[in-house]
Amino acid sequence: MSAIEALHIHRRLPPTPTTPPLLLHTWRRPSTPASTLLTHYQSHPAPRPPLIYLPNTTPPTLLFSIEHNNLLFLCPTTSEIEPLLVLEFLHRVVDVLEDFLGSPLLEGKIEANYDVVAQLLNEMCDDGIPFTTEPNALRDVVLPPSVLGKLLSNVTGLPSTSLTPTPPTTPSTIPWRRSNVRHTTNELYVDLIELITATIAPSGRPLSARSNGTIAMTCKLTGIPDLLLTLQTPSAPQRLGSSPACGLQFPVFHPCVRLTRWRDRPGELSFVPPDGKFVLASYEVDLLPNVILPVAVEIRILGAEFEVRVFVSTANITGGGGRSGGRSPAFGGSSSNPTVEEVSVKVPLPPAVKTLVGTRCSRGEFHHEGRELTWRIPMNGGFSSTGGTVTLRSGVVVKSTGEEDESDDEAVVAPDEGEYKEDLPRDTNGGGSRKKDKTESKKRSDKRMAMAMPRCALVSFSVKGWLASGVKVESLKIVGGKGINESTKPYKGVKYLTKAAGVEVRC
Amino acid sequence: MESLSRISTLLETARDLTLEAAQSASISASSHPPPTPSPTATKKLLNSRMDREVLDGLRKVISMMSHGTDCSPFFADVVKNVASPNLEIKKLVYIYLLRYAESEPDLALLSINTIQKALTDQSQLVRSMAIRVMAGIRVPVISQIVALGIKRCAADMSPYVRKAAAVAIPKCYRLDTGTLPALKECLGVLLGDRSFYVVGAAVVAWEGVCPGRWEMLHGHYRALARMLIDMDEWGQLAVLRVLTGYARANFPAREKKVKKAAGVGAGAKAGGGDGDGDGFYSDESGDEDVIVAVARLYTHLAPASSLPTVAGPLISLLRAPTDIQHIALLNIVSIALKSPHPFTPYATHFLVHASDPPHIWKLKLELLTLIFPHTPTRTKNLILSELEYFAHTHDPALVREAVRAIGRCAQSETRNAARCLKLLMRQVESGTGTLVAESLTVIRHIILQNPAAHARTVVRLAKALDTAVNPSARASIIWLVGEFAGVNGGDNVAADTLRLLAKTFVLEGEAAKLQIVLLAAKVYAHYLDRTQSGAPVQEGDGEGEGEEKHPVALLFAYITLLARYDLSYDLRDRARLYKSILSTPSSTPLATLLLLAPKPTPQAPSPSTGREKYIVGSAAMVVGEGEDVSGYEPLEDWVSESRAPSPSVRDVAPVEGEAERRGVVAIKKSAGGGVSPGMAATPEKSPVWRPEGVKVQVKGKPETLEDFFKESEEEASEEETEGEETEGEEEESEEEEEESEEEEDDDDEEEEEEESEDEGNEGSKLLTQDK
Repeated sequence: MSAIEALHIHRRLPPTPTTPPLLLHTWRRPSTPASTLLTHYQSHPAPRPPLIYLPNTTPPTLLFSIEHNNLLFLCPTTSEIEPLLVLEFLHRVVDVLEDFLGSPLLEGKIEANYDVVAQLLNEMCDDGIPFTTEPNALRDVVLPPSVLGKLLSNVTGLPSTSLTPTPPTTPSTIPWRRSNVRHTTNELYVDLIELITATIAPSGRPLSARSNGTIAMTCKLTGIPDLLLTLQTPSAPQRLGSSPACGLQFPVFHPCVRLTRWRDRPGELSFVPPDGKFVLASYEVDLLPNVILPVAVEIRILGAEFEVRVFVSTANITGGGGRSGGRSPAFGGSSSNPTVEEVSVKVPLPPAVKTLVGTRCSRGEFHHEGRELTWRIPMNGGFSSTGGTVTLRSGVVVKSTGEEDESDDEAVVAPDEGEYKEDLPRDTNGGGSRKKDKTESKKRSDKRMAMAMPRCALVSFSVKGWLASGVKVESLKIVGGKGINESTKPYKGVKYLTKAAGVEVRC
Repeated sequence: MESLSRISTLLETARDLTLEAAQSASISASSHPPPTPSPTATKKLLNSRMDREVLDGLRKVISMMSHGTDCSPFFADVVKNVASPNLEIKKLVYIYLLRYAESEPDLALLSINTIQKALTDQSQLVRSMAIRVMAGIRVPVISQIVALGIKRCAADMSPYVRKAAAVAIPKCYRLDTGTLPALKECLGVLLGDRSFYVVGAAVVAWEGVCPGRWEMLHGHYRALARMLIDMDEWGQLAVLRVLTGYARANFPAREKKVKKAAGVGAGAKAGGGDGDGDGFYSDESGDEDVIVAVARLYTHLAPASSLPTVAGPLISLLRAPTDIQHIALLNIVSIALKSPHPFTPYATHFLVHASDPPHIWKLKLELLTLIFPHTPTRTKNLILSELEYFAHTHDPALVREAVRAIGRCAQSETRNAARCLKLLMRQVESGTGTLVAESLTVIRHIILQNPAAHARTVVRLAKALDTAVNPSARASIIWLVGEFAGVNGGDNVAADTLRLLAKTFVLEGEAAKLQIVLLAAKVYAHYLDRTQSGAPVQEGDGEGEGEEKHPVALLFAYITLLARYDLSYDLRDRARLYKSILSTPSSTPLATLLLLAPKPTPQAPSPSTGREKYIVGSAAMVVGEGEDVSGYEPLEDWVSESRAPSPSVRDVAPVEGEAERRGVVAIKKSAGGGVSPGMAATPEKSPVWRPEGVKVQVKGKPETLEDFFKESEEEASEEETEGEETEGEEEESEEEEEESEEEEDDDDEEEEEEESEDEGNEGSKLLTQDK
């Protein structure tokens, strides 16, 4: 029977097999020692797939791995198991550990709280089969580390004896919400985050442009509230493949969301939330055909130089009314006045490039390391709101042929003199052999130069207070539930954030 | 679903992370090296009377354990604390016990008594922990006690404890297979549990203890399908896994389709059907793994027409982190190998992004080529221009894959071959090393698919010999030229190419030399065929006699002469063979047969071909062909109609035994019809679950096919009504349940539990009556 056999957490830096693992937890009898597995893992060439099959261990092992921050999570099994089950479980472990030990998850935090981690792992998986994995349900069973426990007891009014606090003896009847939630301040935060992935053809026409949205919530409400979140979704472009009713494609929900409600009225999310931070839903919006981005990039090749031009303008993304309002001015950027930040352009350079010469940019700073040129453009001083253009130009020095392996090939065959051409009357571009010889060398150097030119630029930026898809939170109401005082008005906050991590602009 | 940690890293900037990492590093550095507590000090703490100190000691032990240090010396000191009333202490001791009980079975036995006592604790947490630990201690002596404990917990009033009992069943089974009968009884009860918490775990246990014993599931089948919606993802996963196997083993393929059609049409959840409606549900809500499980269900069970339903959710997996993306893509590929249609609208999702690692873009390129023949022209243009773009990138591996992908596009649809060829020819004429070699191999494939149309292409290729430098590329070209040596009655470029090549023969690579010799042989064979002259070349390499000879004969003689003194023995061998076979007129037909035989059209299969044989979503599928993942079992074939149990076995049986009984009848009948010993073995065991005194149902197995369909239709209509009911329930069920939960939650929890407990008891009472 399939089972997750063990979990090994290693430090990713420094990657020496001699350092002891950060954590070993076994659910089944371990078959292969952790150090052996680590060695096998590291001997696999660099971009490692999430599942590595090790036929040389006895018994043969399926080794699953994920990486998080500076930690490496390894999970061996020896028999058939659904790979996604294991991976999902590993991600869940990361989430839960972050929830209990605080985000971001670092090795120091794990080292300080081995007992909590062991309890959690013991609870999350029993005999190699995932058991209780909902963070809220786990909070019913395992106490968070004492510091947090104290903090919580101050907030929630639990007895503050941190050593022997009385955990609730009855797990909640709602699997994802812990029982007896009490908060002195009732707060509700909704974060809508969208990640843009796009590929733009040399002509400037977008080949694909999608926005992957996630609705994350932080919910601190007493009792068992029943919430209704209404989204204002963009009207979907009437195209094949997209449902006409709702612009959000392929939504995925937290188990708490009532699906029938969504099916009947897309855009309405009715749910009893878990306590604390959670991801309510994620969706996808196709931005084609009219993609509006606050940052536009153009990359051109000019002989032995290339030029990257960046246009930043928030003019085309403002216009929507600030109906729901930003969370606070401190956050910077509200929906009525979105701000563009963290604009950077990465230009991957081909291996034929020896070095760059005469690189200059009109704003910001660039950094050339290895096979990548990174250019950061600061957005201070109202640059983005007024709209502006910045340029980076750089010359390329090509590696001489001696350094390239091509030269070997060239040496092998002496090219024949092209007389053959004349025998082929059908050939259209037949020319004199002498003439061709001259153009040949020119052509060849051109070709080499072309091979050394970048093929694309990757643009990253983030916009606060604006969503690429135009999705908005129309309202968030408490429509029912138990244990909530009618008069309490929870503080509600909505935050929009759009990130683009590597919009590919080709040339 | 995006993982929360990923989202929070998006929200917090990277700077925060490094700051905090630095901070914690400085903290750990200050406290470094980690104080390894002396064993005596730890033992002292463990033996303290103060809870606080004991807890401290236990924490130290657990830390050491997590590091991988051997903690068995503390066994006695730790286990002593098992009776502590403090819950925290108890939990840590249990964790320790689970790890080390096996190494000290005698001492571990001492703790059993206390644990057993904990089974009757007031707190359901303690009870559930106790049963889990008890079964987790791998000491075979106690198997009977564990079995008893499981039995007790299976009737517990808390679903949480019952779930723990279900999980304990496979552990107990591994401990001692002799406990199987008792365990199966418990399992039967748990499978029929009212709580979705429990049923999921029970199904997992069933898989572990007695997989393939479908008769145990018949009675619960519809309940499982109904409850699927409420389970947690692990339960859903197990149930979907089991249902897939169940459907294969118990529904004949035809019936399946009838029901499917009905089920899909009504959008209802046909109880007797399968996880159809469930699929609909999970599509929208599930996690990655559940989506794939549903996809598996559809792929292996449903007719192709309903596959598009899962395509969308599968695509949504591509939003996930790279590791999940990779597995998802593999699954999509393996489905698309059989039926690419559902994925055609999502071509833009498979466009390779500059930041994709190799294992991702390989799969994406493959997917693009798989869906290529089925897409509209616009998308085709997009895909081809994408591939062309990637054929020019700097990564040689990517170039190679892209060119191969173009070749597969050409191969899958000949209408586009011309276009692909044009594309590739441009590569040959302009490109460098790897690109040219790869393109030529692909071009060769394309040309051979329709040789008649490509005579002119060969001329262009022959011209490309001027510039091509890569030996394998040259070899490819020369071979192609040789293949076309016979067209137009010899009025073609082959002979002239040979002439040019003969000049530089010594400079060629070995692969190219081999091809040149072959080319010479072919050209000469054609020449012989044409001239039909009874007087071919005479024996001997007489250059002098060759005055009246045709240049082709001279060329052939020259080449063979050169080859004769080559370093490569393979080359020498071949040259000798060709020479001797072409030297005598009597063997000319044989030579023609040998050299000029029409070649079969080559096929370049998609790189993942072979994956589609495996079950979607399995590790074996990910690992791929050639490796044998232990524990992987392929799906059974559809059960034949005559062997399938009657649909009525799945009627929600008031008494479980009855359903099983009916299953037995059906099986027995087919067994009488002379079936495999595997099936025949089942009736032998029937007394085990045949309760005495239950009357045989009149409605037996349908005799003919028509009866069968009539019945299944009847059943379908029955199910429709039933489905409507359940659907109605479904719509409200969540709200109802939640409302009821909410209403009762605060204070009446116990009541609810008692209710369910009553039902559970009722069930078990009935069971025992039957016995």
